[in-house]
Amino acid sequence: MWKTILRRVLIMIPELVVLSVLVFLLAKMMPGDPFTGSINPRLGQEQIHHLMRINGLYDPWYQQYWNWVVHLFHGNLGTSYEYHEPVIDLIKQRGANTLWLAFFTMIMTYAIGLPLGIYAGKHEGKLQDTLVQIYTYVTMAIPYFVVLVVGIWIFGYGLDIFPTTGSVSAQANGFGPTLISRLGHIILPGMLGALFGTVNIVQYLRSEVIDSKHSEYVKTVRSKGVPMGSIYRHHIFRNSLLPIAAFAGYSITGLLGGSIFTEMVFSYPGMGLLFLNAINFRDYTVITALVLLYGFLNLLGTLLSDIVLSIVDPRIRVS
Amino acid sequence: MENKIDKKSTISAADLKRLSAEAEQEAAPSGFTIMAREFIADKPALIALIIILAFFIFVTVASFFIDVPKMMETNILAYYNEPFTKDFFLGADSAGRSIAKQLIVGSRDSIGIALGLTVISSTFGICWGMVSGYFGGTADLVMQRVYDFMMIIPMLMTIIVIVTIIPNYNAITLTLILSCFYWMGTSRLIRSRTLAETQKDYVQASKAFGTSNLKIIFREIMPNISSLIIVDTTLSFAENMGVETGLSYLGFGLPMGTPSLGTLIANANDPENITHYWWTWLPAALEIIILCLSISYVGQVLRRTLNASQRRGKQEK
Amino acid sequence: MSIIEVKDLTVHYPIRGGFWNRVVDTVKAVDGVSFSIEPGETFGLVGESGSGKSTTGKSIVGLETATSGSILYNGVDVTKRSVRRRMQYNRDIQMIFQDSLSSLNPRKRIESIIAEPLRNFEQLSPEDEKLRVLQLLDIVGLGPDALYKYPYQFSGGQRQRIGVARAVATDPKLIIADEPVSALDLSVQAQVLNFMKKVQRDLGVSYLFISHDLGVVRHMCTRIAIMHRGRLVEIGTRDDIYNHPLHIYTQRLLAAIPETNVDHREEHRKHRLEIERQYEEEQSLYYDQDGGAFPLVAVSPTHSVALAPKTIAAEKAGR
Repeated sequence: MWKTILRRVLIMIPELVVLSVLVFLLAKMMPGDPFTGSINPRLGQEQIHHLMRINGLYDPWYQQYWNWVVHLFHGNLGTSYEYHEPVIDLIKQRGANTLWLAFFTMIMTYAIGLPLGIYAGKHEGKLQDTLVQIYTYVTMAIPYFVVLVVGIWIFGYGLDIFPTTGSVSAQANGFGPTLISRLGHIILPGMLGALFGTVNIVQYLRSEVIDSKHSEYVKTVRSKGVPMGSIYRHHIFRNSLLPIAAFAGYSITGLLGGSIFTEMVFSYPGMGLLFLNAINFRDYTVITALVLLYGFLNLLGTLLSDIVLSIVDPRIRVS
Repeated sequence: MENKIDKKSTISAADLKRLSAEAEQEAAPSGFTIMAREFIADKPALIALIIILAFFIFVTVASFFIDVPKMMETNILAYYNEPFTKDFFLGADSAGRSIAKQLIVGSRDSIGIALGLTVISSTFGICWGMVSGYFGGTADLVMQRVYDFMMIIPMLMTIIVIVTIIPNYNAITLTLILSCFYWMGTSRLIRSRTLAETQKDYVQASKAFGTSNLKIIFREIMPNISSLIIVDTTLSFAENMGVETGLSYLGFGLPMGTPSLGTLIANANDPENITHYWWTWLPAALEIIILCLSISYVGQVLRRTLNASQRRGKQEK
Repeated sequence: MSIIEVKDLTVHYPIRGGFWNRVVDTVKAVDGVSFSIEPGETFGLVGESGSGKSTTGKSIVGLETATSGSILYNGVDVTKRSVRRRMQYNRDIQMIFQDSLSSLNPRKRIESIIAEPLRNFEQLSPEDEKLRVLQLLDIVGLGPDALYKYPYQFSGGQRQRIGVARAVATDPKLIIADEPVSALDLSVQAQVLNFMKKVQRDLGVSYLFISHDLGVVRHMCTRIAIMHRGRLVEIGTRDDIYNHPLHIYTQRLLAAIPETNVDHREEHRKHRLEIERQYEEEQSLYYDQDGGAFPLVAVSPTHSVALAPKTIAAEKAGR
C-alpha cells in the first residue's frame, strides 16, 4: 500500500520537472523581458543591459532555469507588472474565488449525478432510463462555453434571477450578507457546470448498477430474501462509491480548464480571468505562475485519484 | 512444391471460374454492409446525417460567392440592422456587417478546422494507442508516461500561450497546434481495446504465419476495432466543434478579421448585444448546438447499430 | 536427418516485485527439454495443463522466446527472430491452434484467412492464389461456398479444418498442433483427426501433436514424450509408452484413462489406487528434492526415462 503511494509520488517528480522546464521555455519564448514596463523609461540602454546582467538574464538558459526554480521554492513567483503586486498575492486573492466555484460545482455534480445514475440503472431499459440517457447525451454534445453563454442570457439577463458579473456585490457588508452574495454569484455558473458535468458519474454508476444487478452475488443475496432496496443501499451503492469518489481527482483537470470559460462569461474574478487578462497585457510572470500552478493541481488531482483507485482495486497497484 | 497440392486435389485451373461464381453466391455480407444496413433502417439518424452533409455542402458552396474582405468592411449605415430586412436576412452587427454572410463563412472555417482536427488527432491517437497496446513492454511504458504527462498539461492555457507566441499563423497551423493536444482520449480507448485483441489467438496465428508486426496491427487488429474507431471519430468530431469555436470565443482562435462561429458568439460578451441585439450571436450559438447534437446523435446511433449487429452475429453462431 | 532438434530448451518467466520492480523469482515453464522430430512422423507431447508443453510448441514456432538452449532446423539455430525471418522459417514450420474460433480473425473472409501465409511467403497471382485456396479447402473436405464466408458461420469442426488448411497452405515440413481437438465435441474430434492424417499422407508433413488426452495421442502418434513440471519424464515409441511405462507419472496418466469395459471395472480401480499409493510413497525414486524430474536415461534404443540413478540400477537388474 505505502509502497504503491510512494512509487506513484516518485513518478510524479520527473513529470513536475518536465512540466516546469516546458513552462519556463515557453516563458522564455515570449517576447519582451521582465523589466518591460516596470522600469523607468528614462533609463539608458547601458543601464538596462546592466540590470539584465546582474539579474542573470544573459546566463545560459539552464542557469536561469535553476535560479527560477530556486526562487519558486522560496515562494517567490516574481512580480506582476500590470498589477505591481507579487504574483503570489494575486493568486491568493483570485485563487480563493476559483476554488469556491470549483468546490461548489463539484458538490453539485455529485448531488445530481449520483441519484440520476442509480435511478437510470434501476430502471434499465424503461422510459426513465431513456430520459436520463437523453439528458447525458445532450449535455455531452453541446460545447460548454455555448451552454454558459445561453445560460447567462436566459437566467442572468432574461429572467434577471442571478448576477451576471463579479464574485460578490459591493453593497454586501458583514459576514452573513457577504456569504449570501458570494453564493448568489456562484449558483448559476456552478449549477450550469454541474448539470453539464455529470456524464461520467451517471454513465459509470448506471452501468455499475446494471452489472451488479445481473451478477451472481446479487442473485444469491436476493434469493435469501433480502429486499432489492437494501441490496441497492448496502451492496451496489457502497461498492461503487469509492471509484466514483476517485473521479473527483481526475475532474480537477476539467474544472480548471472550464474555469477559464466560466470566469470569462460571468466576469468572475478568479484565476481563469486573471490568466486571460495577463495574456492580453503580456504579463509573463503571472502567465508562467498560473500555467505551472494549474499543471501542479492537475498532477495532484490525478495522484489522489490514482491512490484512491489503487486502494479500491488492488490489481492496479502492481503497475 | 506447388504441384504437390495440385496433385492431391480434384480441382484444377479449369474449374476456377465456375467455383468462384458459386462462392460469390454464398458470400456473406461484410460487417460494414451490415452496419450500413442497420443505419439506413434508422430513419431519424439517416435524416440527421443527410441534413448535416447538406449543410456542409451548402456553406462550402455558398462561401465561394461571398467576398470575405468586402463582407468584413465596416458599413456604418447598416449599424445593428434588424434581421429579416433587405440584404440582411439575419441582421447586422455593430459594424454593420451581415451576420448571415459571416455565419456562412464562419461555419465553413469552423467545420473545416473541426474536421481537420478530428482527422489528424484521431489518426495520431489510433496509431499511438495501437502501437502502445500491441507491443506492450518497455515501448508501452514509455508511451504511457508521455500520455500521463500530456494529461497533466493545462491544455487550454498552453494552447493560448502558444498561439500568442507564434507571430503568424493560419487555419492550418492552428489545426496542427490543436491536434497536438487532443489525441489522448482516442489513444487510451484504442490502447485498451488493442491490448484485449492482442491477447487473442488470431494475432498469435498471424505471427506464426510470418506476418510482420505492422501488417498485424493495421490489417488484422484494425478491422476488428474499426467499428469502435468509427463511433469514436464521429463523437470526437462533435466534441471538436467546440474546440476551435471556444478558442475563437476567448479571442485566441483564428486570426483577427476571419469570421468564425466562436467570434460570432463572442458578440455576446457585450451586455448591449446579449440583451438587445440577440441576432448578433444567437444564430451562431443555435447552429453549434444543433450541429453538435446531430453529429453526436449520428454517433450514438452508429454505436447502437454496432452493438446490435454484434449481438446478431453472436446469435448466428 | 531430423527436421527439428530441440536441445536443452528452457523458457523462464521472470516474476517482478518489490519496490524497484526487480526480478525476484522465475517461473520455469520449460526447464531443459530435448527431443527431435523425424520427417513424416507424428510426435506426441503429453502432459497436464501447466506442464509446459504448449510453451515448448510455441517456442519452436517462434511465438515464445527461449531463455536458453537451442532449436536446430536443418542444423541452424532458429531461436533468434532475425534468423527465422531471413530463412523464411515459418514457411516450413506452421501451427494449428486449440481455439478454432479465436485463432481465425473474425473480420476476415475464409479466402484471406487461408491465403495469409501464401501472401507472406509466395508471390502468387490473384487467380493462382484463389485456386490454391479452393484446392486447400477441397483437401480438408470443404466446398467452394466457404470462400467468402466469415469464421462465425462455421461449426467448430469445420473451423478447425480451415485451421488445418491454413497451416498446410505453404506446404510446410512440420506443423505444431497445439491441442487441436480438445475444444471439440467427441464426435467431431475423430473427423478432424482423420483429416489431419489424410493431409499427412497426401503431403508428407510431420506433426508435433500436443495434447493431454492419451486416447487421442495413441490414435495419432508414432513417438511420444511425457512432460511434467517443465521437464520430460519419459520418451519412447507408442509401444514403449503404452505397454512398458516406467515412470510413475506415465503410469498415473495411463491409469487415469477411463475404462469402458464394465467387467474389469473393479480391477481397473484397484490398479489405479495401487499406482496412486506408489506415487505418494515413492516420490524420491522419481523426483529430486525440488520436485523436478531427473535427467533422461536411455533404457533401450527408443526408450528413455527420467529416473533416479539407483532406480535405474534396480530396473536393469529386474529385466
